[in-house]
Amino acid sequence: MKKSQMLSKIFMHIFLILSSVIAIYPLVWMFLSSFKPTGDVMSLPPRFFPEHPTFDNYKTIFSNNIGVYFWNSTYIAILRTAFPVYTSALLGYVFDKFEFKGKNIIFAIFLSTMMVPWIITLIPLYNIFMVSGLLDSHIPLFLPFICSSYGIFLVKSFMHQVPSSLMESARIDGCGEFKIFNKIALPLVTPAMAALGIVLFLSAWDDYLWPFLVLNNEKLFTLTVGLSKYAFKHYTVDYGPVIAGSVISILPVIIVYLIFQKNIVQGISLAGLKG
Amino acid sequence: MRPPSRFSRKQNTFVWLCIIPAIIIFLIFYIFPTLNTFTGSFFNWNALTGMMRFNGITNYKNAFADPLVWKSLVNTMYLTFFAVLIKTVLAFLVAVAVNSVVKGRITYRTIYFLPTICTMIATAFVFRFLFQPEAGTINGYLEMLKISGPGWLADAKWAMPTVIIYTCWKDFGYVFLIFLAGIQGISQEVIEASVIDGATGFGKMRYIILPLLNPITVYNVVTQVIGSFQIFTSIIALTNNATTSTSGGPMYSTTTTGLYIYQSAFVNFKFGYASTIAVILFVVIMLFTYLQMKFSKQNWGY
Repeated sequence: MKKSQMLSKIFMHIFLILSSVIAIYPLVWMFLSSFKPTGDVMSLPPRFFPEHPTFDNYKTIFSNNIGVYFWNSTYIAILRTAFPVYTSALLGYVFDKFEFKGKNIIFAIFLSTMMVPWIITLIPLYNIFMVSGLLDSHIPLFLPFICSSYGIFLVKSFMHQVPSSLMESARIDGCGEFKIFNKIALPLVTPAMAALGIVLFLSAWDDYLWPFLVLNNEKLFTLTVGLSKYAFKHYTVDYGPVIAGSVISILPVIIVYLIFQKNIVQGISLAGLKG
Repeated sequence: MRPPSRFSRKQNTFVWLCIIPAIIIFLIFYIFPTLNTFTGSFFNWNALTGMMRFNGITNYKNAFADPLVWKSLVNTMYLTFFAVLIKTVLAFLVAVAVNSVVKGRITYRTIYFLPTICTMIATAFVFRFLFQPEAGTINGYLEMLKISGPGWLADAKWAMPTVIIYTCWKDFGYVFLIFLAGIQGISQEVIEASVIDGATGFGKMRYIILPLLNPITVYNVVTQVIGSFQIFTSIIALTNNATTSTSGGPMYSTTTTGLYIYQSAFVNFKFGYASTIAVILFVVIMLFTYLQMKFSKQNWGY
């Protein structure tokens, strides 16, 4: 009995380690290859470690504006996080703690937008910005994302645990409604906001097609757009810098992930368990 | 339930001050675009010239007669079926395994979720390099095993399987995480009781974990299917051909419906026709979601 338990334990670990290798092999390969001269990235037989380590790939990609793209991506991702996190908290609070005409219908309509595939709204959304002359600017990159139905839904369920009596007593003390929200309700749902914020930040950082469609001016490119434009121009000859650029786009994400892993896991598991 | 009368005028002002801007945002950026796609599908709408002329169901007639619409739907279902099946089965098995070990649970979780977090475009490029037919690492290793590797993304037969490998690798962590959270939500007492009653490893999984996990499995499958049906950004990253600057090849073998919508709209600027295909895709997605919900309820009537 004990021996078979041992065996099954060892078998489990072998299975798990093997899957881990598959999961991280491409990432490790990318990291190591970013230090290889382009000619060594693809070689037969494959070489795992760089034999002639070099920073040339990074030099090339940085001389191709990757720094500007990095900054654009960063501040757009911050806007696309800060706005919806605050509005989600505010609207989650309003939907949970107040009664008003049409509340259930409005909430249902907000929620139903989650069901609509992105590709359905893409064409008219593009058209709105084309007609209003706002294409090729950063406005389309955050304006449509000011409200998040997923966020409202998430915060509302957290808000439910905040006792209404807290707000009542503040009201008796003569506090204004916005102050009550900012000073009392908001601090009590920070875990939900953190989980939401990180998920939103990562998806904004990852966003590719929308900025790709919207932007034309090279100075406005985000990291994903700049990297793909460089790659589509060069990848048949210049693997090295593309890989270095990939590392640069992934590194901040991995750092954010390792720091906030708990919040991310919480945010995603919640979506699954509640849905 | 709180009676509305308890709220003062001041509070009402606050509520509408918050709700009205939100309604406007949702109207402009979600509700109007959704409706606009439906109305646009009945128009001859060219984005380049700005022309928009009503033409009834002509777009629908054209779409149903367009072999590429059918081909793209078949491709999409092929991709969805295998990607979702592989992801779900593997993620379930790995989640059960991670839950059963004591040491290294967090480490395993961290590693499995890593690909999901990583920037899509960057990982897609890495896969292109790894699966490069002549000198890529994968075929290099296969050659060392005296196997001549396929052309992967360059081969019409192998291109979609390569896309499936990529999506499985990329999304595995997400499906896994939701399974793991679900398994950890099953009370340990239930599992222990089943062991006392004589449940072995397989029996435990088949008769205890699987049924209790059913809502989570349905959630996973439904969200994965909906996601897979819309796939096209990763296909652009994986298959964009630098010289012709087209994606979805070779020979349309990786042209999904999402990609075809994108190409009709933003390469050919036929917004009306693209909207029509988008509506068709939307109906297909809704139909599949409905069938899955119905099927899962019938089959697992607990």
